[in-house]
Amino acid sequence: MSQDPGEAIRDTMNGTVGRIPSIANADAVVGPAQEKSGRIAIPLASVSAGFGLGMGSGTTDAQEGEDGHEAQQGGGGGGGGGAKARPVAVIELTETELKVHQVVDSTRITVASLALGAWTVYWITRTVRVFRRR
Amino acid sequence: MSESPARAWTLRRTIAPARLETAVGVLEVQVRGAAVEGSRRMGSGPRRARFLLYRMRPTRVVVERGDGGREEATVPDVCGQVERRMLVMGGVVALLALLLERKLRS
Repeated sequence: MSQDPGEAIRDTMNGTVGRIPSIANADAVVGPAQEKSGRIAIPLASVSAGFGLGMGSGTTDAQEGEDGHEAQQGGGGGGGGGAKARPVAVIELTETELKVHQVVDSTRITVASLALGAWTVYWITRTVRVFRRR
Repeated sequence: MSESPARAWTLRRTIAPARLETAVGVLEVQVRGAAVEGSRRMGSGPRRARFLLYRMRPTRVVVERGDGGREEATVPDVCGQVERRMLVMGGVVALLALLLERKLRS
């Protein structure tokens, strides 16, 4: 393949990241509808994602080429990303009513409670130490 | 999807609601969030960087029924609310402790 490495990376980068905006639409938060005995259930999720790519290319100094060494060209790049989807609710739709059932993530609440507990214990300990030093 | 420049080298898109056709009617799911896309030439060389970040959370559901009826419901964010409250409580605890500490030292 005679393509310039920098150009190849740029093409890959533009192709990959260029497609992503079409994924970032509200359809990503709505799951497939399930219908059973006149009731339609639709799951809803909270979605977040991040992608990044970077590249660089360069050539050796022109002087080296003049000294008999051939000026060389090189390039490199890298990228990464991550995505997270968390269920938040389920829509229940019937001929007469619309209900939204929330999905409670107990792990998240437990972790937040533990973090708050540890934070409070730290501040209480710190204050008690100051009080004892007096 | 509307677009606006958040920085000179970024583009912020607000996300349009999702529409879903069901046997009962048309369901519209409104979301809160945005997608930020950026592209930047790093330094003076020919290096380039591109990124995309997005976050979406459903906030409101609207059903337009076939008979013309319209119904709305809010999607609750219990976990987010609890987390925000705990963050505030953590801040209050730290502030009170610092004030007490200052008073004890003086």
